[in-house]
Amino acid sequence: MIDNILNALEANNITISTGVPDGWIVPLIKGLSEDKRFDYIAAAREEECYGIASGAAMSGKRTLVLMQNSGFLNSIGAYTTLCQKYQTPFVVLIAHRGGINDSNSYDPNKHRSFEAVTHGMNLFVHPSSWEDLHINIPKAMARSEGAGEPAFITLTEAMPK
Amino acid sequence: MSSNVKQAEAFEKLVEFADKHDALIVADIGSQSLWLKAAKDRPENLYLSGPMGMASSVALGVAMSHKDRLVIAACGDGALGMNMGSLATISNTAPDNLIVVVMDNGVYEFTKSLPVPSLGVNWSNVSHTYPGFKSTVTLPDIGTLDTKNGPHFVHAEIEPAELPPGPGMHAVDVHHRFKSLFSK
Repeated sequence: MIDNILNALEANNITISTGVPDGWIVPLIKGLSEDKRFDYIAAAREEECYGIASGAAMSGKRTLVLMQNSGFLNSIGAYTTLCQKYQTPFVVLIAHRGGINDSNSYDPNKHRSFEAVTHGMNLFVHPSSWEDLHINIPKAMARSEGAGEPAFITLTEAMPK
Repeated sequence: MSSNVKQAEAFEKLVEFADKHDALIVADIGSQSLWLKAAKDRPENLYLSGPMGMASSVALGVAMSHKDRLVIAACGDGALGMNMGSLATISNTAPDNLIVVVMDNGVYEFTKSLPVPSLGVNWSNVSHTYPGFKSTVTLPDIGTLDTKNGPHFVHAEIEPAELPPGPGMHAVDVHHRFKSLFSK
């Protein structure tokens, strides 16, 4: 499954990625980090991811950002005053913790706030299964570039074993 | 910390260095973007108008996108203080082609010159604290840097309390002018 995703990223010239880890997306972060076709930049904080991805976008490159839903909540100011203001396209893959498939009992508040905030901001958020990520990330990138803004994809469960 | 070097002079020095190396410059919101534009408006300048502290991160994204171009992040001390984690990220990523410059005047220029909380930071010690940086120099010594073997950190001590001249550019215009450099 990870190989399918990585091959789709390369085929669509998405060769730069950056993120702050969540347990669910570790397999993809490891894949990106260990594959020489890609540059994965481990960021200390989610705002940096928007900066890195926006810098790449304004340089004509395509970027995948990975973070948890709480990371989005951490970084809304940077999102609005950088990504929206400068109209920088890229795809953000969100580990959407706290839903019905999440066994972590401490995560529901993240889920509820992410849903409310992204709805309130009228952002493009598309749920995906792991199986369809290799299709949905390129589609989201095309949508992002067409709209001149980031596109979000949410995963609501860990990668199937 | 501050010195009697005016911000205009510091940016003239920085642009002279950038022109010599055909370097791209990403500048933080406020004083950095506006003084850079006043020193010399060039397509290779990427002016940020929000949020504070993103120049180092945006410059990292630019540097990773074009590894054959020298990229300079022009950061305010107040701004970089809001994104100190980016120094760890840059140190860990260690792009050869990135130079981070901090314009250190000890105040928030645009906020009635209130002192910044990073006043006690020893900027001259950055490459020891963040060992991915190959060196730390002062702005007068920027010409000594090995630009093929970064990243480097530059500490520019400047005079406080002088608001920059002139207007900025619209963010989307900045984006497309900068991007056009790479579509030829």
